[in-house]
Parts: sequence; structure tokens; C-alpha cells
Amino acid sequence: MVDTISNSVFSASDRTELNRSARITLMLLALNVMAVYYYGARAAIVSGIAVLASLVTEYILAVLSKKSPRLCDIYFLSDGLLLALLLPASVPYRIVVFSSVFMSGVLRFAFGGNKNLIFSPPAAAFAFSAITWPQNVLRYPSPEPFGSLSLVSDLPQVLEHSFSYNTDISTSYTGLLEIIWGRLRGPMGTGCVLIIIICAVSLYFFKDIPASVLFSGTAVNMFLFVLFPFSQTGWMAVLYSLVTGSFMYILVFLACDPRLAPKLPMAGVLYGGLLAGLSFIFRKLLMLESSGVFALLIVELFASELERLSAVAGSAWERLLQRIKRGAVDAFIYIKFRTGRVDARLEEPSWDPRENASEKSVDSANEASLDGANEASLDSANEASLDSDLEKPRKDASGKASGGGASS
Amino acid sequence: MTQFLELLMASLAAVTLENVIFTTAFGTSTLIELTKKNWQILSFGGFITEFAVLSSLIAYFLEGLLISWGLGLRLMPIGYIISLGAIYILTLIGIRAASKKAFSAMKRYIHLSAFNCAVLSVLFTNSVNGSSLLDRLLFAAYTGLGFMLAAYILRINYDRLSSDRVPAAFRGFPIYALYIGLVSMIIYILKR
Amino acid sequence: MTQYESRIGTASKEAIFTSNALLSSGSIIAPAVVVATSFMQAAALCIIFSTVTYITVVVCSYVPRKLLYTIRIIIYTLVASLVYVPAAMLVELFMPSYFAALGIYAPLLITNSMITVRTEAKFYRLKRGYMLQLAAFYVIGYDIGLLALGTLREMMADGGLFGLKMLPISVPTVSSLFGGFIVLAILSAGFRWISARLLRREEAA
Repeated sequence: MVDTISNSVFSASDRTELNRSARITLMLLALNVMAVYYYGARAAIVSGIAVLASLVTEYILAVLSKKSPRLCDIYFLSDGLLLALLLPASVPYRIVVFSSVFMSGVLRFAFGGNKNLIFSPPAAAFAFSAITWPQNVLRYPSPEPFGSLSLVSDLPQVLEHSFSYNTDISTSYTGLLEIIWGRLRGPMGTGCVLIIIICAVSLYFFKDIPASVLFSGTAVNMFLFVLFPFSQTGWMAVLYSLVTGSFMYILVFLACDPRLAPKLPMAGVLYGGLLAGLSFIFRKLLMLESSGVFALLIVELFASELERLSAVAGSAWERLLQRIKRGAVDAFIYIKFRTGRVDARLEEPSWDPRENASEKSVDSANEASLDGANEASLDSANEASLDSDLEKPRKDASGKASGGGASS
Repeated sequence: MTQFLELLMASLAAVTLENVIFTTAFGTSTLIELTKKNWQILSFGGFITEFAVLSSLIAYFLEGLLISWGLGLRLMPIGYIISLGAIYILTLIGIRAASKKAFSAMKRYIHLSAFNCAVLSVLFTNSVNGSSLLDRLLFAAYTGLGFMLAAYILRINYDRLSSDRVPAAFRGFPIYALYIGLVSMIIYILKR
Repeated sequence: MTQYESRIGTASKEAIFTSNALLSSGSIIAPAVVVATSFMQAAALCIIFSTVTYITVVVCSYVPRKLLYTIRIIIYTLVASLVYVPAAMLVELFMPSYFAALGIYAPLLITNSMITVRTEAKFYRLKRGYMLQLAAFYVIGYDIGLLALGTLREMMADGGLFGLKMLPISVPTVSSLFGGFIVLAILSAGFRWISARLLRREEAA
């Protein structure tokens, strides 16, 4: 009965979107559980406030703009959680409210909703908050198992820089177990990389996130950390590249956001690689906390250009492949028939002139028909490839306009 | 080679991190007009660079004259307008002499590229800083290039900014201002 | 109401609401976004802008139209630069700290688009009497936008006005350039929405 209702209420694309949002929300709730484990009920309150503020803003704006809110649009839930998990558990509640309202009202609604975004709403809202209130947003409490932070809005305790910030400037080390379980000073939901990797794998198998962005981002990040290490070298550098700087969280949940990630595979590779590169440079040169967020905003600015570039490169590559294929076919035919004529000349001719004449005429007739057939087939092949060349850019453009199918 | 690289990096920083639009807001209205009307970024930016550089050159000598006559810098705005006006007239004459077709195509936005805040800000800033002639000319050139970069950044997301999905209240100027604000925010972070 | 009065009424509504220079058309943004970070700052800018623009428009309405367009524009900006000198001295006398904070954004008002564009596009195509009233409304419209922007930014940045705490949160970055753009965008959108609703109600009535 539930299926019948949902089938009748939602279209196929809406159902896909709803399922995708639901899965991402579920993953984020799992990260929330870890945050509650380390920081107590306060973590849940911060997430709850973010979601509630986002929902209320969406509702008010929907009423003011006379648009009925869609049942399948639960992005307020996932965006609220995404923003909350980037913040420290100690963040004052009023900052959470302001950031969520700013995210939903200005960064999503003003740009025209989920289908017309340029910047990731949680990322831009976090960046704004980090610049405005750095002492509240970029300083973190210490995580403790079954911890319990005070529920008062402004915490009295002293807060410090994140584990990532400290590892970037000195060879501070922490136990492997702590790293695995995410017991690291930092944003609420970005420390537990084991869970994030499990989420990434499951989202990949559900085709909810583009593999090109995910793998290129991870690979480039690891490569840079090994080549230009901060404080750790070798395998520890690889581990730290995954664990520190909130990079994996930003890559999996923000950069691979289906609303914003490029649809074309090559664009996705460039997108992920650029994100990793810029994030690394900002950490190395500017010592920025959660530098991945700022890198993401820059890469998102040029995402449409990356799509255009890869579409152009893709069609140029297709044309090159076609030419190589045509050239190979021509070469093959040339070699085959040239070799055939040479073999014929090497055979001893029979001395019966009448036989020779009839053979020659048959041969020449055969050659003529073969040549004609070849030419015809070559011409038709050429026309077909030319047609396909002419068609392909249009198909690419319409494919791009329609948003494409599931990303690879 | 090192010096060349240093100069390149300094130029890149000047054009991006000290971008005239994203750090001073000079010429923003002009930029939005340029994007809305789909004018050529290169030609427009080229004219802005030309006006900025050449009028900086004239303003430099005018400033020297005013100071030597003891008239003070309060009358410099008049001097700026005179130098800008002279370059404007010479540019119009030059383009018309070169090609009537080009003149009729370009005349509507040459005026906008001459008399706008971005160009005038170059002249004022140079006076305030009291820099050498070479520094002034370089600053003027960077301003023009920075304007072109800002126009490019606005143009690459033009489709989404002018989409019908944008709510009516935000359509047009507000969404452009919001977009420029967010890009300025990113540059602000990098500058820190 | 006479036809002239109703025409002025319509023109004033257009100048202040639907074609507001700052909030609807997005003209003369740079000084607003950078300098108008508080009510008093915005007020200082308003005084210079209004003086320079209105006097220039009035004086330059006597410039013969037979002159080349190029020469006319140069004359307008020259007149504006001449008017600017006493206006700046006046504001510097009464509001020295606010004038100093204006920096180079105050003298840049001499090439504002109301002088270089709107004069030729709109004002000087109208009869002088009507034009002078319309120009005044356009200037008032910009001033209203500027003061609203300055007030809103001061409230958000300091959590209150004139030192009085009114809001539970302060957002210091609205005083910065990017904050100015964002607040201006939101204010402009809100203003357009309200204007549209008012106009629809009027038409319905």
C-alpha cells in the first residue's frame, strides 16, 4: 500500500531523488551517532537545531513564494545534517540557527533550488560562519567516549585547534585506535573516517555518488601527501591524508553531491583532482582549517567550465578515434588487395592465350566489382562516421542538458 | 628566471587577490551591464585597460604640474576628467578612422568603459599611493585584467544566474550581487 | 488630482520603488557596498551624492543638445567635479570622521551613472520642470536605499543601532565588502518583493 501511494504521488525521477536523499541522510545519521558518543546530547541538539531551522526557513519561503513544498524534497534534512557535522559540538546555538537560515534562505532558495545551484549550500554556509566567528567555529572541544558537553549555548571551557591543524605544524601523534575510531579533536562528524569510507563505498555501489570525483580526489590527495609530507611520511602520510583536514567527509558528502558534481567522467576526474590539489595547497601555505571547504567553493565556481572542457575534449577524442579507425580500415584493405595482386603476379601464367584472356577478364571484372563494392562500403562508412560526427555533439549537448543518467 | 616567475606570481596575485571588483567593488554596475548585454569581455576589458593606463600616464604629469603650481590635490578630480576625456575622444577618433563598422558596433560601450568607477578608481588610488609612473601603469593594467577576469567568472555561470528557476525577487541584479558577494568571500579567505 | 500631479505621482513611485537606482537597478553599487556600513556613514555619503548629482543635473540641463554627445558627457563630469569640491568641504566640516571613512569613494561619485547615463537616456528628453522633480525623486530613491542598507548593516554587525543592543546575535562580516554585497542582494530582493505586492494590490484595488 505504501508503494502504491508513493508510486502514485511521486514520479520516477522524484522517487530516485527521494531514495538518494534518504540514503545520504541515513549515512549522516550514522555519523551523528558517533558525534553523540563523543560529545553527548549536545551533538544531537546542534544537529536538531540545524535541521529544524532549515525546515522552518524552507516552509516560510515556500509560503511567501506561493510554491507548495514537495514531499520528496528532503534536502533540508541532509543539508542541515551536513552543515551541523562540519561544525564543532561546542558551537553556540544562535550561530547554528543563523548558518542554517542563511544556507536554506540565501544559498539554496535565492539560487533557484536544488536544480540550479552553483555553490554547495552547507559548504558556503560553513565558510561564511568560519570567517564571521572563527573562535566559535574553528575551535573544538576534546572528544571523550560517552562524553557529555554542557547544554548551555556558550560553553565556558577552553577550546583548541583541531588535530589536523596540530599535525600540520608539528609531529604530534595519536594512537592508531583513536584514529580508526575518529576520537580526534575536530568537527563533529568528520573525524570518524572508517564510517565515512564505508558510507562512500555503499553510496558508490548505489550509484549515488560519481566514482570519477571520489577516486580522483582520494588518489590525488594521497599522492600529494606522500610527495610533500607535512609531519608524517610513508604509510602514515597516506593514513593522515585520509584522516585529517575533514577531507574525506568533504569529498564524499559535499564534492560528490549529485546536485553539483559534474556529470561527465573526465570533468569529474578534473573536479576531484583540482579539489584535492587546492585543498592541499591551502593547508600547506595558508594553514586553513577545513581547507577542503574553501577549495570546494573555488572548484564549484569552475565546474561548468570543466564540463564544457571535457565535452569538447570528449568529442575531439571521438573524432580522433574515428579517424584512426578509418585509417586502419583503409590500410587493411590496401594491404590486403595489394598483397593479393602481388601473389597473382608471382604465379606462372598459363600459356593458353584464350584461357589467359578469359581469366584476365574475370579477374578484372572481379576487381572492378570488388573495388566498386569497397568504394561503396568505404563511402557509406565515411558517411556514417561523418553523420555520427555531426550527430554526436548534438547528442552530447542534449545528453548534457537532460542531466544524463546515473553517473559512472 | 626566478625574477620572471616572481613577477608572474605577483601579477597573478594582483589580478586575483586584489581584483578590482571582488576587493573594491569598483565597476560592479558596469560589470553586471556587460554580462546582461552579452558584450564582448575581451573588447570591453581591453578598453578599460587602455583608458586606465593612458589616463594614468596623463594624470601623472598633470599631478606634477598641479603640485608645482601649488594648487593642491583637491583639484585633481578635474584633472582626471580632462585626461580621461582626452583619451576617450582620441579613442573614438582612432576607431572611427580605422573602421566605421567597428565604430558603430563599439561606440555604445566605449563610453561606458571610459566613464566608470573602475577606471577612475585607478587614477584616484595612484594619487593617494603616490607611486612611481611604472607602478601606476602596472596597477592600471592589472585593474583592466582583473575586470576581464571578473567578467569571465560572471559569464561562466551566466546560464544559472539568468535561469527561470531563480525566484522573481532575486532575478537580475540581486542574484548577480549575491554571486559577486560569494566570490568576494572566497577571495577574502585567500587573502587572509 | 490634475493630470500633471498624477504624472508626478506615477513618476515618484517609479523613481523610488520600481526603478530605485540602488535597490532595483543596481546602479552606483561600489560606494554603497564598501562605505555604507552604518547609518551615519550612509548619511554622509547621501549628502555628497545628493548635492553633487542634483546640482550637476540641474546645471547641465542648460548644456546645448547640439554639442556632440562625447563633449556633453565630458562637460557633465567636469561640472560634477567642480560641484564636488565645496560639497566635500561642507561634509568634512560637519562630519570629519565619517568623511574620512568615505575615502576615494566620495570623489568617485562624480562619474555616477545618474550623471553619465540617466541624464542622456531619460532626464534631458523631458521638459525641464517635470525633469527637475523626477531627478529629485531618483536622488531621494537612492538615498532611501543607501540609508536602509547602512541601517541594516549596522544592526547586523553590532547587534543594534547607535550603540543599543537589539539582536541576540551580531554578524561582524556584514561590514566587509562581501557582506555588503550579500546584504544588498537580500535587501534588493526583499524590496522588489514588497514593491511588487504593493503594486499588485493597487492594481487590484
